[in-house]
Amino acid sequence: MSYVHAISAAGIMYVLTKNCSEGAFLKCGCDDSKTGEVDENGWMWGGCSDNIKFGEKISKQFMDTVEVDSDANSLMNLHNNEAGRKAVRSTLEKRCKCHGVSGSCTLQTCWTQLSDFSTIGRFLRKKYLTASQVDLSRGHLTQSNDFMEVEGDTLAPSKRDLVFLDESPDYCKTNDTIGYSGMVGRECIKKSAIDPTVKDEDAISWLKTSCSRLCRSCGLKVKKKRVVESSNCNCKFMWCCSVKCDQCTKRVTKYTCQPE
Amino acid sequence: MHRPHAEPPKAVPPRGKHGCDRLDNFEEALTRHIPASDITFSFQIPHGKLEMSRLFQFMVGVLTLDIEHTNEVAVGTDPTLSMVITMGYNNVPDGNGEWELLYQVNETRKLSCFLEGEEDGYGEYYDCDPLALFELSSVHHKHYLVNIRLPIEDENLQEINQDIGSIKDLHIVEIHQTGGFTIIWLTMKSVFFPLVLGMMIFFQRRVNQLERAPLLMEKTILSLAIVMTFVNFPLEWLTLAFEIPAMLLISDIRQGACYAMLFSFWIIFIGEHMMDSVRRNSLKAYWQQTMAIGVACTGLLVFDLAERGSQLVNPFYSIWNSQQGSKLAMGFIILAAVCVCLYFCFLLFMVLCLFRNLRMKSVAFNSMPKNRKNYYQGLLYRFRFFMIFTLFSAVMTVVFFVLSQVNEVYNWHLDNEDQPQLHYTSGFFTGVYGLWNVYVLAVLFLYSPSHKDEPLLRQVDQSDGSQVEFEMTEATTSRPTVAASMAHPGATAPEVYQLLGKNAGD
Repeated sequence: MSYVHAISAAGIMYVLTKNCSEGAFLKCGCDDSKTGEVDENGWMWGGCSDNIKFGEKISKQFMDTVEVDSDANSLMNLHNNEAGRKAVRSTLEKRCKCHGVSGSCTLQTCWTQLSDFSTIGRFLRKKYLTASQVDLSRGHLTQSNDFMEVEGDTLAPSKRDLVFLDESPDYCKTNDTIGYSGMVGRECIKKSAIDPTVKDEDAISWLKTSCSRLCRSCGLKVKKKRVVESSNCNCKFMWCCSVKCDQCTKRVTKYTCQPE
Repeated sequence: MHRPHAEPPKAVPPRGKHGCDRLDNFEEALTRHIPASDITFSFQIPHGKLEMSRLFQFMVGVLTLDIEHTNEVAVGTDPTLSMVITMGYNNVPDGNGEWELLYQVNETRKLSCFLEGEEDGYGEYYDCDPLALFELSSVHHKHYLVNIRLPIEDENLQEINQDIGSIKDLHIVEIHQTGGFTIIWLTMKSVFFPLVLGMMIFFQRRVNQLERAPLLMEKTILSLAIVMTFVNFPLEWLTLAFEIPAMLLISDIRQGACYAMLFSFWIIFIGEHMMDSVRRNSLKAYWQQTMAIGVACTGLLVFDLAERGSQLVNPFYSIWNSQQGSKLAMGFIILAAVCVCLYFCFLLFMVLCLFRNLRMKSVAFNSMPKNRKNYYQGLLYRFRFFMIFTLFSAVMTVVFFVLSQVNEVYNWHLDNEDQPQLHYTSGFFTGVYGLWNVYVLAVLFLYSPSHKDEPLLRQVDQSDGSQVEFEMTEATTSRPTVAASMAHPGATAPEVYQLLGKNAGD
C-alpha cells in the first residue's frame, strides 16, 4: 500500500509537471512562483526548468487533503505520498547544451528535466524494499526497529523513505476478499527461456530465480508443460501509427506453480 | 500532436483560436485514419502570456524525443530522423494573431538512443541524446512558433523515418540569454568602452610626443587597446531596435580577435623583455609564434563562418549534422588546438628563458653605481609586477571557469534548489570580462612613455660616461662588461628600452 500511495502521488505530480512544461495551463509558467502565477520578472531574469513546484502543489492538494484524520494510517499515507513526490525530485535529470563560440563549451546551459516515469517507478521500488516499519508515538511516526532505539531516543523515519505499519500479507495465500488468487497457477521462467536480447546482469539473475521465488518459497512445485505458441515476429513499425508483423509459431516450455 | 487544417504548410499554433485539431495520442490518429505526414508537432515559444524580449539576444532550440521501447518495435541500428520544419512568428499580445512565416526547411538528424534497465515489456523509454535543433542570432519577435512534421516518404517517394522506433512525443527546450544579464553586460560594456578608449588616446598622445619612432612594444599595446575597444563597443544596444541576424557571428569574431591579440601581446611582451643579445623590435622576430596564433585563429574563423554564416540563411543548419561537415569542422578544430598548444610551448620556453636571464642580471646590479641600480631595479619591479598580474588574470580566468562548473554540479545535488547556478555563471562572465578590461587599462597606464624620461635617461647614461651592457654573450654573463661603443648615448635608448621594457623613471 505504501508503494501505491507513493507512486500515485508521484504520478499526479509527474503528469501535471509535464503538462505544465508543454504550456497546457495558463497559470503555470516559470519555476519561481510559489503562487502558481506567471512571474514576468522571473522570466526576464531567470529561466524556466520543468515547473515541478506546481505539480507538487496540486498533487499535495489532491492526495493529502483526503487524509484528514491524525491516526497512524493517515500519517503513514501522508508520509508515503511525500516520499513519492520526493522521488520525482530525486530522479530529476540534468541536461546541458554547449553554445559558446562556434558551439564550444565556453557557454553551457543546463536545465532540469523529469526522467521518464519508469525510472521513478524503479526508484520507488528500491525504496519499497528498504521501507521501514513505524509506530505512532506522541502524534508522530517513529521507527520501530528494536535496535534503533537508543535510550528512549526514537528515530523519525527519513522523508525520502517509504514506511509501513503492518507487515504485508502472505502473498502465497489466497485472499478471496480482495480477489487475490495466490501463487497457484503463476507462471515462472527458467534460465533457458530468458530472452537472449536481455543483457542486464541484474535482470537475468532476477529472472533466473523466478521459479524458486514464486513457487518454491510458497511450498509449491514447478510444473513443466510444453505448448505451441504463436506470436508476433519480424515486426515493422509504420510511423505513424501501426505495427505490421508476421505470425510465427514455435514450441515453448512453460513453467507454472502447482500444489504438491 | 496535431493535425493542420490547411494543406499548404503553414505555421499552426498548438492552442487558441487558430490552433490545430488536437490529437492526444497516436492511437487516436490510428482510429481517425490520419496519416503520419499530416501529424504536426506544434510548439509555441514561449507559452501563454509570456513574451520573448529583444534583450534575450539569441535563442537556441534543443529537441528531445520520447521513444517507447516495445517487444515488437525497436529503434534501428543507425536511425535518421527526417523533419519538415516550419518556423513562424507574431507580435500580437498573447500570440493569438496570424503567424508570419520565418523559415521552412527540411532537416535530418542522426539519433543516438539506448536503453537502460531491463529490456522487457512496454512502457520503457529510450534514453536519447538531445538534438540541436536551431540557433537564432536575434530574438526580434515576441512569439515564435515551431512546427515539425515527420513524413514517411520524401519528395522522391523514398521511405524515410522508418527505423526511428515508436515516437510518443517531441519536446523542445529553448535556451536564451536572460534579459537581466544582457542589461548588466551592456552596462559594463558601455562603461569600459569610453574608459579604454580614453586611455588609448592618452597612450597614443604620449607615444606621439616622443622624438623617436614608436617601438614594437608600443605598437602592440596600441593594437591591444584597439582590439579591446572593438570588443567593448556596445553594438548590442542596436539589437533592441533592429533585427541583426549576424550578431552571434560578429560577437564570435570580436571574441576571437580579442584572444588573438592577447596571445600576440604576451609573446611580444615577454620577447621584448628578454635581455639577451638578440635584437628584436620587429614582428619578424616573432614569426613562429604569430603564425601559430594566425593559423589557429584562421582555422576557427573559417569554421565559425561556415557554421554561423549558414545559420544566417537557415538557423536549423549545423555543420555537425553532415558527416563530411563534421569531419571538416573537426579538422579545423584540431588544427587550431595544435597551434594553441604550440603557442603555449613557445610561451613557456620564453618565460623560462626570461627568468633565467633575470636571475643573472640581478647579479649584475651589485656592481653598479647606486642611482643607476635603483633606476634599473625600479623598472624590473614594474616588469615583475606586470608578469604577476598577467599570471593572476590568467589563473583567475581558469579558476573561475572551473569553479562555475563545480558549483553547477554541486547545486544540482541539493535537490531543493532549482537554478542558482545561473547566477554563478553570469557572475563568472562579468568578473572575467571586467578583470581583462582592468588588465588592458593597467597596460596602457603603466607602459605609456613618460614625457619626463628623456632627460632622466640621459642623466643615467652619462652618470659615469658609460652604459652597462646587459646584452652579453653567454660566456660572460657573470661579469658585467663595460661597452666600448658608448660614443652615441642617444642611439642606445631603444636598446635600454628593450632591456627593461620601459625607459621611464617615475
